[in-house]
Amino acid sequence: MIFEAKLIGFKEGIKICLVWLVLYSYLLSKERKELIKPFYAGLALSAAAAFLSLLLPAGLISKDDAGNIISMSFAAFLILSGAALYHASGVNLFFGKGDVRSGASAGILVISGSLLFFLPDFAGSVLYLQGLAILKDDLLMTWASACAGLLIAGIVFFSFMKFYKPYRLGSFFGLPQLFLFLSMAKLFGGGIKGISELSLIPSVQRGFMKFIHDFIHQTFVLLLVPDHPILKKTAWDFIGIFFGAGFASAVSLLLLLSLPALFIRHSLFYPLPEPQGDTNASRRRIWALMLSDRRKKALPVMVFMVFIVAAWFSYGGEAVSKIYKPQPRPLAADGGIVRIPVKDPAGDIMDGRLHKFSLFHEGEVIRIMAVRRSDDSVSVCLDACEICPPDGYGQRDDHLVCVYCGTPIAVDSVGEPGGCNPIPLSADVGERFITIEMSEILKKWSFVNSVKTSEGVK
Amino acid sequence: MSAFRKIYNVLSSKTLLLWLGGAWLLYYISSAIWMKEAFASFIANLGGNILIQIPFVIFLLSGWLNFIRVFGDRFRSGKISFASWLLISCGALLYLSGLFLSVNTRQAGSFLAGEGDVITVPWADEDFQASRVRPGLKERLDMPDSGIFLDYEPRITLTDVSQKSHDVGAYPPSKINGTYFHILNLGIAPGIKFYEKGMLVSEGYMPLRLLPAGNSDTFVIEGYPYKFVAALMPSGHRGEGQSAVPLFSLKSPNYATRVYKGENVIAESAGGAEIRFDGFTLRYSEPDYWILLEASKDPAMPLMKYGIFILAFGIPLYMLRLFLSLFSFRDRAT
Repeated sequence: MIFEAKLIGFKEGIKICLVWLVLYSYLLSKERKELIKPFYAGLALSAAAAFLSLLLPAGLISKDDAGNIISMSFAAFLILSGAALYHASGVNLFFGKGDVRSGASAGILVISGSLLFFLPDFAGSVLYLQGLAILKDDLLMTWASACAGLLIAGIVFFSFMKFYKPYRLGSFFGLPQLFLFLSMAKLFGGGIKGISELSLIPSVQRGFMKFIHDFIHQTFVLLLVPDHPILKKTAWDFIGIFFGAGFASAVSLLLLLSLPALFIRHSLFYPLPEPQGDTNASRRRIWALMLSDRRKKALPVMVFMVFIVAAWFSYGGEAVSKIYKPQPRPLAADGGIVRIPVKDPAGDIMDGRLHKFSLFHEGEVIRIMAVRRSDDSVSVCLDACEICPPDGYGQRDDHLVCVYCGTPIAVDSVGEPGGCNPIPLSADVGERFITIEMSEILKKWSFVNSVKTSEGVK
Repeated sequence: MSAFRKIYNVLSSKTLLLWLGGAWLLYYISSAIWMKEAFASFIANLGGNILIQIPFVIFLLSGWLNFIRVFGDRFRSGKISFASWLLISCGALLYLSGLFLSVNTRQAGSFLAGEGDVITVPWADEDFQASRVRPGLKERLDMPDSGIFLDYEPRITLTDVSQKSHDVGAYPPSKINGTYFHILNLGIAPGIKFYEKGMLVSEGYMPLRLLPAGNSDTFVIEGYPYKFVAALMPSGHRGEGQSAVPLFSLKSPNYATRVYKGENVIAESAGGAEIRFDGFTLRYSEPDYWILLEASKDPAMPLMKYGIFILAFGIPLYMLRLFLSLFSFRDRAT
């Protein structure tokens, strides 16, 4: 048995079981048990479509595409939960036109929701398993292991259900809580990089931190705050706090927790509606029931918050500390041409890591870097941007990071000019060599030291 | 109900605001996932893509109308509640309005200046003269690795056409006749005299990036096939033996120089006031200082600044209100 395949199968199995449990309990509590059938239909359609995707031409949907779609579906469920919460708290999001309640339209919505939830995850897992099968050179065993994992998850879950039928779980979930649960299930179980990344937390963390950093950077640029250390040390240290990874991580976490916090606020602190009853006793009873219902609905949200915080810090410490800064390998120009071997004993450009090279020219050390993007193209740039001093870049996970100002740069955007991005070089990427004209390197390198003017000496 | 009233009701509704907020989130997340540099592209689109500009303007309009609509209710909701809501809403709306206006109206440029230089700002009707530069550099550096080379914040004095002087620092920017100026970067410009067979053929100041000590920079002298690499060298040491700390003088710097002709090093000096090669002499003299000034004409800058300022007060107050509401709820619940 292949452990990793079994784990993928187990993860998907547990996800299906948990979603089924929460949805079924929710439908029971709302007396809409019949809607579980469209859920099964959506589940079956998702599985079928995921397996059919194997028949598509190779490369049409990459693992990264699947990962992106999973991230999108996570965001969609998170936004839906916020919208449902506002709707439930009195803001009619349909401009007072009423809700979707008829059986047919509700059924279509459940099927669509199931497809949106399961299809990206299934497709991602199927693609990962396909890659694993090729790597292990054992197609049958890989799929058998995945099926075994799925089966184990089912057996464990339904054994548990045999002893305890927690269908009253439905009283803990309103529609907003249900959507929030679905987005959390994505967050904690939506990773498609096997054991190395079971959850979406690292990529969500990177996305949030990038947003915070870019927002602060843009604000500072517009407010004309210098982004170079020419202020007094105390002032610069103060500004440095906002550019630091710790600040970005903390604000990102607050942003991610803000929606669950809104749920808690709604459940615990919003005034209850005036209870309707004939007697004071009955009104008090209704009031107590409403209060209990709200408190119950706050409970799963609190659990999510605890999980988010724990997972965030367990990933966060690692993400903040690790920056990969490779030593530049020396290069030499030959007849005005610089050649970088794509693969040699010293390294493989296509391995997804950052590669640096140094070129000695008339007393200057010019640093060049190359990195493979997710579409398997190679970006070749100078190891410097037009803004900061030429300290260059390091790599943190799937981002590059400016060593000087800490700006994260998505690898897929490396090669695009401007701003904090490294200065791109026109290069011919062949099977064995990357070829760059020396004149191109020198022309672009002159941007790095752009403070000089030809009128310096008259 | 009149059409105007209907439009007002929709625009001032929380529902529209939420829909627009949700749509923006979806747009931003989609571009962050698929196109990566989402924020930069959003700002670029805000300045030039009508498909982004129109919804953003509707969002701002809806935000302000919502603000006006609920003002009365909020006013009656209690002092702290009202104050926190007022500061947060007002701060956020001011900042976002300022951001939109700034992105669409700002004119900006950067100018390299030394003492005595005239700065021509394209959008201004007048030139400015850099009449005095106070770089704030330490006279001596003894911690080259720390990168701290300033004694105090650098300043430059700009004189306008009416001979009025304006003092400009790094932050906050100084507003001079409608244009904001501030120092973006600075460095030293060694005085250079270039002699050919004993005759002076070129002289001036060369702005170089030699700070913090340890950096090297290159320059050429037009019309000659040489390239010079310069770096600051210690002028002395403090202490003795292995604990000796190199000292770099920024008042009378000591430069290491390497001269290239093509790929070949033809002369090299580890310090000193001059270097000789091929019948030429390059002589260093007392340095001047260069300042990189950023100028910007941005009518929306105060909106953003006050927006952030107000938000900075509003957020803690909002937290305080949440904390206090915890107790008021407990009182009600019991």
